[in-house]
Amino acid sequence: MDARAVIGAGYGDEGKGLLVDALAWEAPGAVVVRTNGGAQAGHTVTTPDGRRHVFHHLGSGALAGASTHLSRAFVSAPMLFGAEQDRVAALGGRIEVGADPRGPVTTPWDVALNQAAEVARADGRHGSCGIGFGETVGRDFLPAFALAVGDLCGPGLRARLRAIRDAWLPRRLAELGLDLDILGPEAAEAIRGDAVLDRFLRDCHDFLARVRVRPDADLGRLGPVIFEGAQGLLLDQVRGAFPHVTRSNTGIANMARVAREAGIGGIAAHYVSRAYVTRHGAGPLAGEGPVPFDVVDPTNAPNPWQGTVRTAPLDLGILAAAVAADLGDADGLRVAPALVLTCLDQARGDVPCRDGGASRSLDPAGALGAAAERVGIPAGAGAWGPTRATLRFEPGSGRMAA
Amino acid sequence: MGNGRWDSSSWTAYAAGTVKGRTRSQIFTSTDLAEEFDPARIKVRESRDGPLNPAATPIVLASDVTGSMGEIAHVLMRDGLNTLATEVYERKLGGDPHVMVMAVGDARTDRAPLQATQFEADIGLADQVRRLYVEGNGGANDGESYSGAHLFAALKTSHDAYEVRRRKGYLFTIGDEPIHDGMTRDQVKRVLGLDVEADISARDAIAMASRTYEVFHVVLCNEGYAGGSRAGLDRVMRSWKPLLPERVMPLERVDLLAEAVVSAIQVAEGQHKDAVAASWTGKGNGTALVVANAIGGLAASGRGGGVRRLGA
Repeated sequence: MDARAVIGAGYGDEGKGLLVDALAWEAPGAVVVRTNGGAQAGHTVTTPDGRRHVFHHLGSGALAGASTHLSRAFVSAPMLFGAEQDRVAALGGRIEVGADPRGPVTTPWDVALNQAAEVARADGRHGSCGIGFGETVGRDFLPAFALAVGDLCGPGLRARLRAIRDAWLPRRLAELGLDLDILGPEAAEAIRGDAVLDRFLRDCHDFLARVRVRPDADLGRLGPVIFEGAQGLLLDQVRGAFPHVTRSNTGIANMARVAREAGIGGIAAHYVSRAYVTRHGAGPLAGEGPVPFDVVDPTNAPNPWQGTVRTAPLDLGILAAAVAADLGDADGLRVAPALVLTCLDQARGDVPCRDGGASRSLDPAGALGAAAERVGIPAGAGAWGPTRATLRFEPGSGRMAA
Repeated sequence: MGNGRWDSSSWTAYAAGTVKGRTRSQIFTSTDLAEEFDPARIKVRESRDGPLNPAATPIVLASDVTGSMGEIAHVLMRDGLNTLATEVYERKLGGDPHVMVMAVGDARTDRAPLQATQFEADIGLADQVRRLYVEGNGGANDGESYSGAHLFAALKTSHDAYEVRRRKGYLFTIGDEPIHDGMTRDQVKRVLGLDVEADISARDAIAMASRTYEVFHVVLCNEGYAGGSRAGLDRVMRSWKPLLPERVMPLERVDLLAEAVVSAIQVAEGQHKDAVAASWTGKGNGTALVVANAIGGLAASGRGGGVRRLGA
């Protein structure tokens, strides 16, 4: 059976949550699979009846009745998971979560390293979120210090956590030329103390009680699969502008790998962008400046670890290049791509676009078709508001193929 | 992208905070007996030596899951399994633990009076335990069908520890109620899927299990039936002691089940009871005392053969 996929075509905040929610609503019994990043993602879903949640750790289809699977390429954060699962449960969402045992796990010391580095960087921030995602990925390369979901219940978990705290933390601090005291003496003492370790052990056990460990290979048997990408193609670790990138493949590459393990033969891939471009934190942004939209961004509360939101008109040339490059990563998997534009309702008049050096102006009603033609893939859907009820699918769009 | 955040001022709060555990109904999500755990459908559960577990030691924990005892299985899963596995390794009890969890109910009244996970050496177990069906029923007839666990261990498990190395595994039944006197032919057929010629008494079931397991029973003195009154506890002890002389362990705190089980194994392997109890002193909160009381009635060393290490 084929799967569906939602991939951000920009720098994040494109409306992936909205689209995952809509696809899940149309596919009863679906499982939403997280295939990159970790709980630093924030995918907003607002339901037509007014419930709203920013998904970090669970799949964005939960309010539409979909379960969640955390694939081997997703970084779990037991420190944050339980609170979100409880919140989604309180909202009436579906909270069944599976996790591949190979998925990396963030520890308190990754978080501390992340924060210390960000504080030390002061004005030169990378746009990181301060929850240790990048540090987890780096540590995961070292067998002596790697920690995966499958390790959380084995004997010797405490010893492994001690090794990360007592051997890896000082080594990494020295590498970065950092001192934990930059976070304040109280925090530094707590981070090195046993109380944080004990609390994290409890979080690990609680995490296991809340998720069901099952391999990615089982996905093909669980019902319709919806891959949910995080961040966006322009933040990809390979294709984005280093160092202002995330440490994961944000496009179809990870999805193709998981699909292959699960025996899924094809993917209907939805590439999502707002009708303009936003970017958080540092890094280049082509054509940066005000845009003629009533920009709505309730998801990104000001955050000491990221800057404020920046805007630019949609650049069709960059969009086309990013999608074309990503489709080259499908590794032989059958892919039916489609373009999705969101926030069309926020346009005050015509939608300005850039293309190479030139400027264009598109009628909002025709913007999706024109952009899709330039990108060279079919038009999938346009969103005219924050909920699935405002989403207009194009006839014959990629979702029908799935 | 988003607001997943961790404020550095929250470290001390994090360290001091507690984990809000899930309730039993949230953790035990199954609403019926899963086929994979149905003893009538299970042909055999195996514990085999392997590269990662060169000396697999089967440990069976068969807990009553009826009524309030559902919570016990919950505590066992949330905290106990990890403690158990960790301590068995750290105390160098010789073997590599292969743990199987069984859920015990009442063969007279329950839909799922017996369930059995696989033998597991790792995380897979916690996941299976979570999926056990917790009935919360248990007939009000003064007993549970613990004999089902003994018969399952005797007739439907197979382990290298005994078959290759002539060392017995460990079987602990756990609960707050007296034991029903065995199972009828019909019950054996329905629950275990086996044809037997006659009813099997509790004593016979234990004798069958004891061929390949050191068999113990843990009485949860402060829970449910046993915890309700002095007379209740007396009835429970009177029902068990003649069947398992010097193998009944009264446990005052449910959260120390793993510690009690590990200690019993140590005693069975020839270690001195006082030393074993004292080894928990560093754990605080009276752990050593509770363990001392639990293992106080055990025979001083393994009986029935096959327990003592020869050489190293």
